[in-house]
Amino acid sequence: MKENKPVQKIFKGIAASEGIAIGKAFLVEREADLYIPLKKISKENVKKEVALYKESLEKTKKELLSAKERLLKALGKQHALLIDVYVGMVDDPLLTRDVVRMIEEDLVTAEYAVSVGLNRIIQSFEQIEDEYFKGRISDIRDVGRRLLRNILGKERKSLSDIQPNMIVIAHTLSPSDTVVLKEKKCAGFVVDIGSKTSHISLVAQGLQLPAVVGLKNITEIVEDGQDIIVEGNTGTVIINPDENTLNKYAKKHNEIVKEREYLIKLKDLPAETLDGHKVSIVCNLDSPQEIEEVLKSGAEGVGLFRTEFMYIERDELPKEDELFEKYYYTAEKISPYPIIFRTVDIGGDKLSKLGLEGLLPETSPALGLRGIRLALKYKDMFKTQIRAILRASVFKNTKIMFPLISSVQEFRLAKEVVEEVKKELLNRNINFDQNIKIGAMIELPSAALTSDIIAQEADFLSIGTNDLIQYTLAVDRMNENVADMYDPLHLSVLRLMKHVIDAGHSKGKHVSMCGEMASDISFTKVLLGMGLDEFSVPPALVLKLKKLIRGFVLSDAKELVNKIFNTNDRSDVIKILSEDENKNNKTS
Amino acid sequence: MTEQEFVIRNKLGLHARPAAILVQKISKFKSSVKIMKENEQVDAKSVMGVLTLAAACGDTIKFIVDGEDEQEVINMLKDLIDNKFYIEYE
Repeated sequence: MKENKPVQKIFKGIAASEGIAIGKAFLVEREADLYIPLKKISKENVKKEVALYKESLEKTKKELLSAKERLLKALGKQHALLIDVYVGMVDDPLLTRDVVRMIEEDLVTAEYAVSVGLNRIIQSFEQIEDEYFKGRISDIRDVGRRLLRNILGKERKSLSDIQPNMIVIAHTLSPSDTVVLKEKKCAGFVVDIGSKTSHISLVAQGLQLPAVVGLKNITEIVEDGQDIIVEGNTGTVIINPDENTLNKYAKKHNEIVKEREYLIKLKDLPAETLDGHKVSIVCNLDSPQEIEEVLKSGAEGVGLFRTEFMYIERDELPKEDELFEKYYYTAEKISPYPIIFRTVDIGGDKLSKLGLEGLLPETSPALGLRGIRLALKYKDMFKTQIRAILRASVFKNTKIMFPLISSVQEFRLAKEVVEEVKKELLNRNINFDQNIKIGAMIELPSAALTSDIIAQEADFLSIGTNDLIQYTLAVDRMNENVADMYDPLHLSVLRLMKHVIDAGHSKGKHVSMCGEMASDISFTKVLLGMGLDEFSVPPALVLKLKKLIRGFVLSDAKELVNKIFNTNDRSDVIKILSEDENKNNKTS
Repeated sequence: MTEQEFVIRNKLGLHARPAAILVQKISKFKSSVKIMKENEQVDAKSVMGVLTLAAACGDTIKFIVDGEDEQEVINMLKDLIDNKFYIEYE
């Protein structure tokens, strides 16, 4: 008897999240869409209908807030904040006011009024040309479905029945659903709707779940239990793959898994070149919550703790104890690894909000009272922060760094404040690290050019590339007229950086780099060749960077830097770099 | 009634997060607030409405504020938009 083999079918959707998943389909039934037939209610029932509707709104909001909590735990703040816009939709007067009005005036059911209201707004979104904004339709539908489910009292088919390695096929998934998928070890997912910028796509990327979205009617094509391949890099979905295809993708999948496993193995290995030159890779940190990610990343500490988070979006200055609590928590978590606290770097524009006075208007805030200048002017605020940092230094892993230093005199003044606070604490018998290391952030050309002098008094230097480039080239990156002139490879910038590194080393001090240039892997070899001691990068980049560094030879990197410094044309620099990259790719 | 024009300076424009933040803040005020972009006008207290403007980086939008606390609304808006909605990473 001839075996009836199912035919392989290939579909193209939108590549939403990288990776390959191979497994059986778990089909989540397609839900009724947002179209609800018209149903009238009697005048006596209006009150009841409105009450039911308001309850459903509340319930939907609660669900969303609890989803936010879960996302916060699984993925961190950035993703959780995406839920805020969902909550905003539930609070939208279009739903809270207009729908109620429609129920009362037209005597219709709540579900009908919701569907009319939402479809009206979806229609206006469909007129938008911009893909990102048009993509919000899927968020509106998500919220609409949730709301309708609560009005109609229906439970969603449970995703908790998914077995490991299955691939979920659904019309749509909410971001909180995707967290369940990860918990259930599902291999990936495919949905009918959505775009690259839909929340589910962003969440899938964060969870490293391969996903393809925007397949329109894939839920009507796939059957439960069918073999499926999801290729998230190209947005390909293959149903009933034949043997060749299956082997091809299994091989690819293996490579990806191997790469990931390889990277994980690097976690506890040093960032060391093939010829034994060690550097350290540390993380940038924006808030204490993110410390967990740093701990998992394979980094050797925190190279830049941006402490602004306690000074923005509030209307009074943070109290010492508030600061201390957060600082202590963070320092303890990362201990015994070091953590560099960069003292607060806010501009004068934030001050009046915090209740501080005496500031004159500024025409160019970037050249105005900010960073250490502001701290030295508002000394009480500065001392409060220094006290909190010193009190958190009991684990002996804490360091202090001042932003926007322009001269050694300024550095000295800031250091004197620390000494003053130290004395106070000693007098009060408060415990802290008396040998706390204090460094300067080098992000102004004035500091870079005098870094040899600063390095005599600073315990370490850290190059802040974003500002250093902006101030050297006189280019505001946010200004579209000149944004393309922002160039990390400008010889002036490279020379300054090399100068800072050499100056630091000549005084026996470590030089690190925070700022975006440290995170761009196309510059890693150049920075290594210049002699940079430490790279401070986002947690997700640590292992990639480590792998890269472990494949380089220091002498080779130095030679590359020499070549670059012998050019006088930007295009030559680019050429040298791309030739070198090709060479590296061949050998690896 | 006060009218004030602003240029959106966020890289991604008035996208989901800034729109949510904007609406949340404006909703705390008593004044009625409308936003105009070209010929379109929406209720600034409606996040879905604000998103339909699809305001991109560099676009000029006009706020029309009417009510007892209108000056405070304008001050808040100025601060918020100047600081790119306090969103560090987009």
